[in-house]
Amino acid sequence: MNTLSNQPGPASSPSPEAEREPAGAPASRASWSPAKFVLPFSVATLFLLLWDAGVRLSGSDLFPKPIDVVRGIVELIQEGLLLKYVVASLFRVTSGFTLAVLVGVPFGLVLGWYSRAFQAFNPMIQIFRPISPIAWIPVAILWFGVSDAAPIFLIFLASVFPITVSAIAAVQNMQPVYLRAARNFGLSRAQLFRRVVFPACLPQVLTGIRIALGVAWLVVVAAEMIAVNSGLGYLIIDARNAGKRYDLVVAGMVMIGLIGLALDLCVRRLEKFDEVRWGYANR
Amino acid sequence: MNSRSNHPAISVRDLWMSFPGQRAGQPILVLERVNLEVKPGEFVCLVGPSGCGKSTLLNIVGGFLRPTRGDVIVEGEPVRHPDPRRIFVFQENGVFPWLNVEENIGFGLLAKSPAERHRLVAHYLAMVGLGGFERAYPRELSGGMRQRAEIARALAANPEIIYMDEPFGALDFITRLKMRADLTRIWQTEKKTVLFVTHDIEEAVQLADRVLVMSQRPATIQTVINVPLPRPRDLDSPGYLATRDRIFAAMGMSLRIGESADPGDDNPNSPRGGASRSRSTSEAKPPPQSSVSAPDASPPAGKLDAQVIIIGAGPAGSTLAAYLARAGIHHLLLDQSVHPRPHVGESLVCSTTRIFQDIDFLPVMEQAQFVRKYGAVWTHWADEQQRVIRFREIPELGLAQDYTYHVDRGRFDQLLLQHAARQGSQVLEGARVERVEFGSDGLATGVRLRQHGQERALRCQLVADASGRGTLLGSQLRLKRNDSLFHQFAVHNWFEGVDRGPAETADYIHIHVLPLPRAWVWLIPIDPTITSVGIVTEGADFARGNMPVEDFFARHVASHPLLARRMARARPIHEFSREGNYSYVMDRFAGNGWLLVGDAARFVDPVFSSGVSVAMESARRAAEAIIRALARNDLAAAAFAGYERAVRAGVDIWREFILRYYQLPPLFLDLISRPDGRRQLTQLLQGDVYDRASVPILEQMGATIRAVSDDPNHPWHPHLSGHDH
Repeated sequence: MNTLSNQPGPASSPSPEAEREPAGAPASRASWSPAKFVLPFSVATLFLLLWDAGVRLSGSDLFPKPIDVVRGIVELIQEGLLLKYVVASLFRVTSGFTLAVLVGVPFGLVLGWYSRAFQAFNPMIQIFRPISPIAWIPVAILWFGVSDAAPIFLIFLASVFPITVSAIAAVQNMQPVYLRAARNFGLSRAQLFRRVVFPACLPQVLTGIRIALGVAWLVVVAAEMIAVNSGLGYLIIDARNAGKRYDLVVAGMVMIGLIGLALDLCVRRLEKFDEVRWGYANR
Repeated sequence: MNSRSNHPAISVRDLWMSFPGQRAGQPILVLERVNLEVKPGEFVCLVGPSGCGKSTLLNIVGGFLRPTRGDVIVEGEPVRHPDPRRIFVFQENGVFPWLNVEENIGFGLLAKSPAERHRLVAHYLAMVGLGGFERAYPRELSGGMRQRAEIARALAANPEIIYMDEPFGALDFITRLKMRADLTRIWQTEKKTVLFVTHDIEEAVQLADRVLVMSQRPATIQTVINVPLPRPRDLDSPGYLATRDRIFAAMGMSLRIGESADPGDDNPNSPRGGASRSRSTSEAKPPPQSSVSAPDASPPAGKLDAQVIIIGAGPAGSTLAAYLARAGIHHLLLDQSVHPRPHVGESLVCSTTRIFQDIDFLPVMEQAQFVRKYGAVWTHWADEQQRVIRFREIPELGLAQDYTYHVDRGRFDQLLLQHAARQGSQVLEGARVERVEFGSDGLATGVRLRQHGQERALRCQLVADASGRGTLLGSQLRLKRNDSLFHQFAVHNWFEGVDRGPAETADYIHIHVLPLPRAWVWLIPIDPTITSVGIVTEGADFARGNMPVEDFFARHVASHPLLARRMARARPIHEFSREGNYSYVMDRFAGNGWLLVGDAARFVDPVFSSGVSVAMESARRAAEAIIRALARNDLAAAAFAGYERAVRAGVDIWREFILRYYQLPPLFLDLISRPDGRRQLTQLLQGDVYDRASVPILEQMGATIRAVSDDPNHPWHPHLSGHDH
């Protein structure tokens, strides 16, 4: 007994057959729960207590207790050094990293699109990619001396490869149906790139950018230990050399960690935009 | 439009296509000598077996692929590349996920002024029914809504032709039906030429002016079938069914499958080439049909087509078939429709699990991921107390599983049928049995059936009628007596946005008792978003109202405050269905060479989701009786007396229980809200009710009802409903 018919009928208004699916809903509605804050804070507190107890038990007078580190940070703030060093480090990262994005994204998109170009450049990329930026430090000093240019170059080098590679992969993995739909609408090559290829690749490119930023921040500290006389890396090495001020060493480390966390949170923010969120469906 | 009068919209001439094969020099020939024409404004469907190359053909016509040889002329010009004057709608959905619905629909309109673009977007948004979703992103939409957006995007570009490549292939059955209806409506308004690829024959007949049937690979257009049916199309009309069957026949599958390799085909519509080819296919999904023309196991007596013929492939028929197949009894399972088909009755009880285990069907159920049903909740309109039955509290059946399932019956019935086919049942879909034939000695000898518009006879030793409420044999032999105690009537639909209440009981069945006598509402979760809701009431109640079905539904929902709140945001998915649940019973359940199974024997208003369970249990018992009778080679009525007794007793107990329930709903609600009462109702609620001695609670309920009715001061007295028995 078939009671369904395909009558359009006046009464059957073309109501869509489903409500918005809750696809991304749980993530966006990020339910606030006390556990979300209580748990990490408990772990951090425990860590600080163990650290404190460890230093006290060992009787070390060189390695600082947490409270010494806090005093160290306060001291750095009062002397105006902390802000100065943080700004110096951030400036280098921003410069080198921006450069890497400006070069890596277009380069990667082009290599992903033109298979000939990919064939030509890929082996070279794969050779350069595994060389640690640290290994470039002597070369950077040779070329740029003890100036801002050396760490900026290192940061560029460290971040340009992850960005390029993720952009290449993004184009190559793009759903063919988007391209076919776009071609159907008669888009010119330039329109196709701007209106389809770029937005289709953006989520994966953004993931590459986030990874690259992490690497860049790692590298700036290493570069500043050697090639310059300001920045958080310099602070650490200087505090150790100038008077075994391990409280300041650890204070520098703490700042590096906190700023790294902040940078990552910022980029993760970008991933929440509607233009790219579809690309992270399963997170 | 200038081109319309002069030449066909699409013309394909002597087209060949091959792809490079695994080894060089051995290309795979996909299309061979394809010729076709589509007239301006025509709706043409291309159907063919999966993998035959119909999508390849559409891609060539659309300009996405270059043919190896031959020409495609569209609107008078040879096709070289895709063109915005003909838009493609893709199966995998080409809506851009980074744009919202509005931006997607306007994608091809950048050359237009913003005002004009806005107007067009709004127009087509409304036409496809996405109003209110302008700013939604594709990830927030269901599959059907994404396809609607893509169709709107295609229409907004104002193409001459729309190519559709299985656009509804990934959608569920009900959504597909709805999408087809809406596409027909849109096509009638917009008058575009449509070339539509599908592997679904029903879809083609519902949509097309003409259906082009493609052969197996290397594919060519094998047959062209006109569909001169008026729109809207009635899926029950003889014209519809005949056209559909012609296409089946043309595809060579002709509702036949399987083991018979004999092309000695008695169907004149079926071209030989197509028939023999289609049998050699290795489709991923095993088709549920099966051949009758040459049964491989030769039946014992001379010209028999099978030992047993089962009429109707619902749960009773398919279960019986599975049991018989496992016993090695040669049988045919006939059904007049082609599965999946819609059916009401969506919740199961625990006792079905044993039968699933018997026939190895339980893994299939688990894999199908139906919503698990862990219990039932009753609420009375006058209070908001939830009386909960949890199956884990009542493990007496000895089952490992403390849940059963809520099912989409279209899918469940199809899975069960496919399972029977896998077990070895020979299935014939689209075969309408006209009557059962009897010999001069009064013994059933076979059936007459109509298939592809032709009558034929099949002979067998035993006919099992599982035709459900069609009651084929019962009507033919005039055995049917209506059960005047239950003239119930049901109105139901699927909804979205139903609040299923607290999480613990969200996937239980919810039963709401309404203020009217014998009126109640079911709420059954079908999947995470869809809920089946149905009102059951006395037939007279519905007739009395004489109001539109939507109003009737709304009025009854409003009479139960808790239910009304839960339904506050609910939206119906399709048209309301209504049916008379008029209970009946047959004078006899079995005779010489025949027996009745499931609803074909007896039907009682299924308050407690007992329908499928009763049907399957009767099939199990029927299978036992049939196996025994065939072994003794005695198929006279007496051989089935035990079967009839057991099934009749079971349904009688159900009937009495349902009657008591209706007589005094507060009594039942009181019983289940107390642990000892719940324990006593155990077997009933699990569906295991074939032995009267095991349900003493029935007597107690009767005694209480008598006491309440004798005591006018009893608080429950006003709740008594009129009938007594």
